[in-house]
Amino acid sequence: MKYRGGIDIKIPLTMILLALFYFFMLFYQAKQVAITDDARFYMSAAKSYSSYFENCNFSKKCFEKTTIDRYWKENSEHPPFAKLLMAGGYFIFHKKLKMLDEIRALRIGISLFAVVLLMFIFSFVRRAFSFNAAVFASLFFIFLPRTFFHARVATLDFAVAGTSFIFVYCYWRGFSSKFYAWMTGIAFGIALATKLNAPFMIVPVLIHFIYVKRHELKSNPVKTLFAPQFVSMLLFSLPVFFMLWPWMWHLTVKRFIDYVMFHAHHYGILMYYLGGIYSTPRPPWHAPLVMMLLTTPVLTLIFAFVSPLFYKWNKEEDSFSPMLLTILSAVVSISALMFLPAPYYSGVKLFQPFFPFLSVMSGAGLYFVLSGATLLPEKYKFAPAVLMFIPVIFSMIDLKHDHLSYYNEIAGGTKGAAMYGNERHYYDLFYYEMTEFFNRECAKKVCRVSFEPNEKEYDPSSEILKRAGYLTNKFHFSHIDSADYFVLTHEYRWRQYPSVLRNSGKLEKVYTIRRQGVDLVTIFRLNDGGK
Amino acid sequence: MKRFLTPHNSVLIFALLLVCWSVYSFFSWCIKPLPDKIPDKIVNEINTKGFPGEPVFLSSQLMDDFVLNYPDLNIFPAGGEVLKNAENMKSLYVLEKYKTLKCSDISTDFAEKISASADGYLLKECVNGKGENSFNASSFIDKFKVTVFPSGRQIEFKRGVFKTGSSPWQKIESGSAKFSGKTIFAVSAHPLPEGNEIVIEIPQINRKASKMFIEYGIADSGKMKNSKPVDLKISQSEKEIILHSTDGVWTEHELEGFTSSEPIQVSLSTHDAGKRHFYFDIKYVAGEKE
Repeated sequence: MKYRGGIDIKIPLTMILLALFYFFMLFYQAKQVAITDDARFYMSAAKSYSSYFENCNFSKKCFEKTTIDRYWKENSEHPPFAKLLMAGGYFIFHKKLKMLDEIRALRIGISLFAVVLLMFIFSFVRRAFSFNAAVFASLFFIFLPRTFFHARVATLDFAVAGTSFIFVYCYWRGFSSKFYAWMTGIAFGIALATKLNAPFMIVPVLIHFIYVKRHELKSNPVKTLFAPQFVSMLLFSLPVFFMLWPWMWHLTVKRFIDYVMFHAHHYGILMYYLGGIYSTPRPPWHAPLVMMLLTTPVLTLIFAFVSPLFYKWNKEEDSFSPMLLTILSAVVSISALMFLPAPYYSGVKLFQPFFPFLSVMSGAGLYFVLSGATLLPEKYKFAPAVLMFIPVIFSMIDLKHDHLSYYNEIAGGTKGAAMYGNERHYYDLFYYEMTEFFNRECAKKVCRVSFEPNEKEYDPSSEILKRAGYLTNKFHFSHIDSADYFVLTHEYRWRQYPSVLRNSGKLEKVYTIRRQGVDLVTIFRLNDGGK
Repeated sequence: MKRFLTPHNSVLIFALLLVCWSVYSFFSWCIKPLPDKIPDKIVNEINTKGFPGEPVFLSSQLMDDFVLNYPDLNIFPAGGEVLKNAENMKSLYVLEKYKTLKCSDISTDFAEKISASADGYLLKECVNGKGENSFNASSFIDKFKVTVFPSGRQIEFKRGVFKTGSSPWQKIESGSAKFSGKTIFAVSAHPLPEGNEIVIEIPQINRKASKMFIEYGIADSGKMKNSKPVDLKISQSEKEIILHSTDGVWTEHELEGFTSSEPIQVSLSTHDAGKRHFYFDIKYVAGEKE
């Protein structure tokens, strides 16, 4: 049965099914996803952007400096695209349709973009390798626990993974499609307007182009270099970047320099890695690689590793070297964090662009292995694919919505991570279970709650939860001296944590959040119940 | 066989075995609850044979729950930079399970002896062979009594700390600091401003000490020009010794004539409390453990 244009109906049908499945997973119990410590910056900025469009109503007022300064100053150290996605979700689902609370509305834009990314991954792999490889790659991407978490929260990291991949996709499609060639510049502009990882994606693209066009470059270098993709990038990417970011419309040079300098001198953030506490200096060069190896499902890693070994490299040039492009993009995405003097902290958050490319390789690898294996009859040769996702599905269900505590089987799960001196969690997460606990405890009284070892981040997070109606207004953040409850987050990255833990021995333990047997948070009652 | 073990088949078989192993590992390891109790035999050994408040260092973070579940034992959790506290201790226990921790990993001066074992746990004793067997009052800080004068207010021991004043640094707690670059674990006691005195009463202990020493000093972090020393008065019954701290130096002074079977009062005061990162400890030189 054929679809219009000669496309087999199973392709769009499968794509839609995968997209719906992914969206369902992202949105299912979305209320129970913890609040991250940076959500307050991005959510606040997103709401401000939404107000900007509502108030200036696409009139001349939108271009005035006073208007722009009023609505775009918030979080001006980061570009706006991800926040625009959040703003879109907020405006549509919270303000207009009133279907979602503030938090879920601000997050849904990122989740919808995740579904879009999934479709691009599917499309890329189908065209580059095969339909089955595309299905596998999509599933490998869906079942990346940590990436899955990032696709459910209101932060920038997932968005830059998406825009980086889409840029590379457009570039690659541009070899055979004028439309995508011209879209490359726009995609790159959007990627630049997402986060600072994006500019690095030029490197794999350039290397790939030089390789693919090596013969033409020898004979006609200038004409070859001015390929439509690069002309598009030269013409459109910077204008799109600036167009998407009204903050840059005034005092452009100064504000752009401020943006770059903020990241050149980014404050250090503590990370506990292999038993050491790092901030400045940052963790050693191998930390991003090791964390990736420990927090990616093992089967995903295996198939990504074998993918280039089983690939028919002699057929690569027929389809403009997709495997080479994928490998280059993956390597550059993670290498930037390994070898450049940039701050590194927080698991695999900062190199999310790596993971779509990893999924491509894994999907292709699984396809190559199964299509070449002779263990099963031809009719069932792809059936074992289902089994490859069982271990990660078990872990993801077990961790509920707290997938930043996911470690793979090599690491020994969260338990193994704790045993070998790695962070059990990070991001100063305000867990939903904590919210539920305090809603119960503070149902009839005001509760004054203090947090240690890091007390800084939980007050703003609790305000977000209160505003959205998740957390009771009777929850009051407090200093330890006047608190009724004390929340201890089990994080060795804080040097004072061991003594805080020791000093809590005689307190009344009332609740523990535990994942895979390992304590993440313990709540103690300090007084007889507060007022 | 050759046709069966093609590269594709081999990888597939390996992947399927990995699936089986992963599922097994998930159920047998990942989600299995961690124990929250130390075997009684080991607790008994620590309580009867150990010195008062003898430190117990865990070999693995997977036992960190014991810190909260056994507040009467002086347990140190396993992660971070905790082992630095142990470097200059005279003797301590290591409770080992899940991960090995040799006494020599803590300090090459430690000799190791297995004290007890039960249910897969190993209790090892690490003793510094240099000098005599001893233990420190910092191991049982929760038993101290602290009073500030002139108000005469007795301070409650709350969450590991005696809060002697309203500023965050005005407290008494156990902790470690560097003295001439060497990490020492002792009692941190920031003095109060001039005109105030802190009196710390260290209780008698059920252990005969052949000798006793007061150890004290201002940490390297408190070194500064024109600083005033912390004035220290150690008294017991009619005996009294007056000493003065030196910046960046850890000093030991014998408490001649003092006995472990009576309380000791340690009084602290200074003319200028600025940056006085003062630490002290009472060292009890004991005989061999029974």
